[in-house]
Amino acid sequence: MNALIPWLTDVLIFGALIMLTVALYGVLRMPDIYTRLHASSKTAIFGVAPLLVALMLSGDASFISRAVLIGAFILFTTPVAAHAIARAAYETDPPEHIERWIVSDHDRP
Amino acid sequence: MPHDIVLSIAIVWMVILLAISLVLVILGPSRLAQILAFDMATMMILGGLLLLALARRSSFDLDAALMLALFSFGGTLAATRYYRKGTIFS
Repeated sequence: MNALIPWLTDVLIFGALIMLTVALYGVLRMPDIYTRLHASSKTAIFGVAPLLVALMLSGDASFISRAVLIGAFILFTTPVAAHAIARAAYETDPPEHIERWIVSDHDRP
Repeated sequence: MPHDIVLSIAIVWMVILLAISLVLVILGPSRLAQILAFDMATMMILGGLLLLALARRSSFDLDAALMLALFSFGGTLAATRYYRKGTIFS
C-alpha cells in the first residue's frame, strides 16, 4: 500500500494536466463568452483538485491542512468569479438569440 | 527515480499551458475574454505552485498558492465590476 502512493500521485498529476489542457483548448476553441466560461470553470474542480488530492496522499499534516484550505477556497470562489464574468457579459451586451429571462437589478420598476 | 521525471515533465507541461493562457490574455477577442483568460492563467500558476510543492516537499509554496487564489478572486471581481460600472467602488 505504501509503495503504491507515488504511482497514484503520478496518475493524479497526469489526469489533472490532461483536464487543464482540455479546458484551455475549450477556451481557445469556443466562440462565445458563455461557452468559454463553461470550459474554463472546469479547471478548478477537475484540474486543481486532483493535484490537491496528490498533495494530501504524499504529504504530512502541514500539506493536508493547507490543501484542504486551498480546496475549500477554490470550490467557493470559482463559481462566484464565473458568475461575475457572465453577469458583466449579460448586462453590457445581452445576447439576442437567448430569451431574456434573468431578472436583473435594472429590470425592476 | 521515475517519479522525479514525472514531476519535471508535469512542471514543463504546466509552464507551456501558462504560456498559452498568457498569450490568450493578450490576444483575447474581447475584454471579458481577457479577464477570463487571466483568471485561467492564475489557475495555471496555482497548479504550478502545487507541483512545485510536490517536487520540493515544502509547504511554503502552498501558502503562496492560497494567497494567489485569494488575490485572483478579488482581481477578477474588481475587473468585472469595473467593466460593468466604470468604477470599482461606488
